[in-house]
Amino acid sequence: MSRMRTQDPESPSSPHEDVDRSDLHPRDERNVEKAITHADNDKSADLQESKSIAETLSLPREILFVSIICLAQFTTQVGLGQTLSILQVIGRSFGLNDPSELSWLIAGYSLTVGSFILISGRFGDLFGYKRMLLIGFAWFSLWSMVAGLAVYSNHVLFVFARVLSGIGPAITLPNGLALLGATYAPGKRKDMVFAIFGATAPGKSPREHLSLGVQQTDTQ
Amino acid sequence: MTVGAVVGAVFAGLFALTWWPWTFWSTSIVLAIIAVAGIYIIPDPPRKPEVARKSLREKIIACDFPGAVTGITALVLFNFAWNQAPIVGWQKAYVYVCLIIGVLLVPVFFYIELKVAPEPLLAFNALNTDVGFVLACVACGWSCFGQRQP
Repeated sequence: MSRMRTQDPESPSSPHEDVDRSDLHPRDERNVEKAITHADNDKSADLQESKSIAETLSLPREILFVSIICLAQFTTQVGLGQTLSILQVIGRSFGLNDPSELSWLIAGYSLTVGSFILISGRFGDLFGYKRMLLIGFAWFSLWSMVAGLAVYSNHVLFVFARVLSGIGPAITLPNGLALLGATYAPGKRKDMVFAIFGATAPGKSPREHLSLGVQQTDTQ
Repeated sequence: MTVGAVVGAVFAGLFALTWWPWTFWSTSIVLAIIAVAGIYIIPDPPRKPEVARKSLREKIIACDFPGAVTGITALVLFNFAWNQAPIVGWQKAYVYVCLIIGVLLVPVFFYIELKVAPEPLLAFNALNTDVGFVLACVACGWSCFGQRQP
């Protein structure tokens, strides 16, 4: 609201300024009105200055930024699909044949993704969305590695690693969305970015089927 | 998404090695790259002033751990029972005990959220009829996915 400040000095000066002020007055009122509707729409309006954070980014950086946030959604789906598609292969290497027992190799992951979303958004509010998002990615990376290393151990370690890796997406999903919400001002561009985020979920299936195909040729 | 295609290509390359642990190791590598790239690319929006003023102690209280523990435990036990029952049968005591405890924790969770927690995890001010309908639609959508019998 820098315009307000320029208008504040009440001291009479050159006639030029008088003309300016009469010009500014209605515009100012409009600004205040806009600010009020803003506050209604978005609780974080008090953070937003005249420009949203997204507007200060260069286009290439904005594209990369939105891509990384979308990858939070993408990797969540990949984490599920990568086990689902090669479930039989993994089960066989652990000597598991009972189909219902195999279900835990998948369900352990979905279980924590769904449950821990409850608290991880609050962590972002308190400790910073960016920090939590990066912690989530790092955590997910660490336990994915352990899940692979479980090949040298048994299926208990595998399920354990999958359960813990599910906490990663539970952190990245809400904090990624919150980052988009906090950096974009309400408007068409924000709607578009959120739509891209949502559209990323079905986008993972080609990659999943790719892995399925490769693995099946492997087992034949 | 082009990014997805690039990631897919990276995975495909690694799958040439065709040993299932590489599925997870390649995911792990890509995630690590994303995390490091994110440090430079993602802007850090300032926290709300009322949050920035809080001390660490106040922040821990604001995390609403009693609500989180009851809510997460309820969800985990409820889901565990539904997943484990097809394997060992509903007759097993620990299966239905988990289900009962999980169901009983739901009202405890709502009691904590409504009466006890200074800053409840559930945003009650955001819940209205429209949001309720959307959530109901999402719930029905996900209910279509039962347990997959491979």
